[in-house]
Amino acid sequence: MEQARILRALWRRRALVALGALVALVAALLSVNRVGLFPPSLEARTNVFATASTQILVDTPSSAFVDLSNETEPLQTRAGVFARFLTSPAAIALIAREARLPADAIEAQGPYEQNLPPFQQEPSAAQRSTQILGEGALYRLRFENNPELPIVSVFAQAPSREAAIALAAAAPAALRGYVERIQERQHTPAGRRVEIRKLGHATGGVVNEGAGRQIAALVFIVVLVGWCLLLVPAQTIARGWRGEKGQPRLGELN
Amino acid sequence: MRADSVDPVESADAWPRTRRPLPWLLAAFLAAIFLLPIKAIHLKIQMPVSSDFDRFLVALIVVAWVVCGLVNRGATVVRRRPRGWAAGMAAFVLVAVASIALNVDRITNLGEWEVVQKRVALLIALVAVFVIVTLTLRVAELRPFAVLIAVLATITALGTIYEKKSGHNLFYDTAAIVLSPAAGVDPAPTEVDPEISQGRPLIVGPTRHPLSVTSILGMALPFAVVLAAVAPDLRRRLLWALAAAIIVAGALITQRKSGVVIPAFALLAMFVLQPRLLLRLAPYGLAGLVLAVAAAPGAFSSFQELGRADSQASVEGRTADYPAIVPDLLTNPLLGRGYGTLDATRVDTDRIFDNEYLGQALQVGGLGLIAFLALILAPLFVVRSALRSDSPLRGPPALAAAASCLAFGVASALYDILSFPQAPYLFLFTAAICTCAASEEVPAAEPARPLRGVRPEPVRV
Repeated sequence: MEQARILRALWRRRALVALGALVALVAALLSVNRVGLFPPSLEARTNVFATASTQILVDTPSSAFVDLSNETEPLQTRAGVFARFLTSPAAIALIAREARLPADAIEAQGPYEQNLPPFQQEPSAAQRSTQILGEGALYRLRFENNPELPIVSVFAQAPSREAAIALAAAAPAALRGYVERIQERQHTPAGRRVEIRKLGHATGGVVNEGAGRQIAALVFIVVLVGWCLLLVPAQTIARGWRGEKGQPRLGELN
Repeated sequence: MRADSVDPVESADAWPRTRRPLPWLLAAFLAAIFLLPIKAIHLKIQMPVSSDFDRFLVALIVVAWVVCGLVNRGATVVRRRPRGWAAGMAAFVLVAVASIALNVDRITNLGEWEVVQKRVALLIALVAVFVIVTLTLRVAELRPFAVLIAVLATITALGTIYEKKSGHNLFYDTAAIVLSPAAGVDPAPTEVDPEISQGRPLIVGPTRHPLSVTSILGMALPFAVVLAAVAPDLRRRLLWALAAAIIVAGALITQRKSGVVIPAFALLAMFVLQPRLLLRLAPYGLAGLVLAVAAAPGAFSSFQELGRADSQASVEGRTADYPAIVPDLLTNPLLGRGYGTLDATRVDTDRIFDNEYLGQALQVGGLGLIAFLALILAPLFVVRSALRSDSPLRGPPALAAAASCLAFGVASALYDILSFPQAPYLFLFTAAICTCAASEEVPAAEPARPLRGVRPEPVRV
């Protein structure tokens, strides 16, 4: 059978296959690590990250949701406005202070409206350009807003579970502080103040543990198989160069 | 030797008159592509990589191939395949993996590895199918497999027509009943008469999308047409012509523009490659068209689709993709942002491209796009010498497979074809048929020819 002949052909050139394995190993290492020469170092390129999420409820002081006579529509409008505010540089600075992180390390996206058909959510060229600029950030926030509910969903991403939870929890705290300062400044009566409530504690966990190993394994296998495939025409060319005849070409066996 | 005679070396132990398990497994795999909603079937047992049904089938084929290779040591036939038969596939896989390796930081930082992993698993499955079919199929098996493809496509088309008429998807319903002990089957997305706000009808056959079923039918059409053209008597010619008509009707009834475009380009490709063969069938085609218009004018609703308002919106959506892709292309022009990073579920960051070439340009860059084109065109270069072969074993299957590959190339410009596995699997099967048709077979005992290269020579008649 062909596969047995291919294996036999590769076994005859086992030194070259071993060299290929070495090349594949180096390629696999380089694919997931940054190599430093002075001083010699190996730094992982893959980012193990964690995510956390929480929700912000925009409410009235006496909670509109326990009294059926209350209209929630004005609160939905406000939730939309707050969701937009949360992606602004001013809000990111407040969130960064709450989470004790540098503001320029945080990238915020959104608000993405739920329940819209896909073609209305797809990014235009301008939106995509902005997204590409922030793709390298290690701390990421994403806000979603359902226009039928006075709720803003917060999704945070950070290099560790603790940092992700802290970042997610910082968003409602920062928004509450910001809104309360405005209310104080404007002397808004207590009964007419908007309340920013956090719906439960932020929860999260590590997401892509082991991705580096899997990517390295993939690179190793593909490079090694590619190397073995290249042995076939290389051997044919070499034999042609030497003028050997009368032996089946390796190309015939693949 | 008469023109229709067959080389005994080529015809010995050929499927379906063989006990070799692999051709039977490959036939079962083809049947699964055409008759089972493979994307909707989820095995109840956990597999190491994926519990998708198609991966399970491919894993089964790989295991059988390895076991057969270890058990059967005495091969009776040595096959000489044409040079570069795997070049397109190898180039595409290398570029795909390189694009992932170079974008590792971005992929892991944005949490895209999970999606990439699934796409890579599908790519590996596609490679496995291509390699194993190429290494397994014998020249004498190409014609029986061409018959199998045409018959399966006819059944798919009939089921799709029934779906349109009744609203019941036989493929999903049957799979759910038959596979219930071992697998769960998602409900069929069939929507024969949707509200105006919900868009066009969804007639999907065994696939997840009308464009996908249209693609596999369009790609199978050349096989039925070729079999009609080379049929030895009028009765068989009429039967194959009827099968071709049913396949066209099945594609048209999906009410998508692609239902017209893909079969039309498949026929055009055949006409360009072998004009005389197709002209022989012209009277049957015209008669069939007149009969079809008279008997079932509704079958041609795809033509009406061209003018519908939501169809025009679909065209606008396609043109809007071009400017939207520019920022990504400029950021990573050579190797893109990483193979498999386009995730249709992340609508806020990723667009659903109605064009696989655009999607590949974004994911694997300019080099990847060239490699993807090479993947599609390589079978045509490989098979060119076998296209006009007088051998009944090589010429007709080679022509049908080449036209099928071109149909896949056209379908790739119409939607994100790699997101739906049936058409890519069928494409790689037909690409393997191209390679086999251009291969030479000699008895294993006969000393192989010296180095002059494997110029695939057709069997002399």
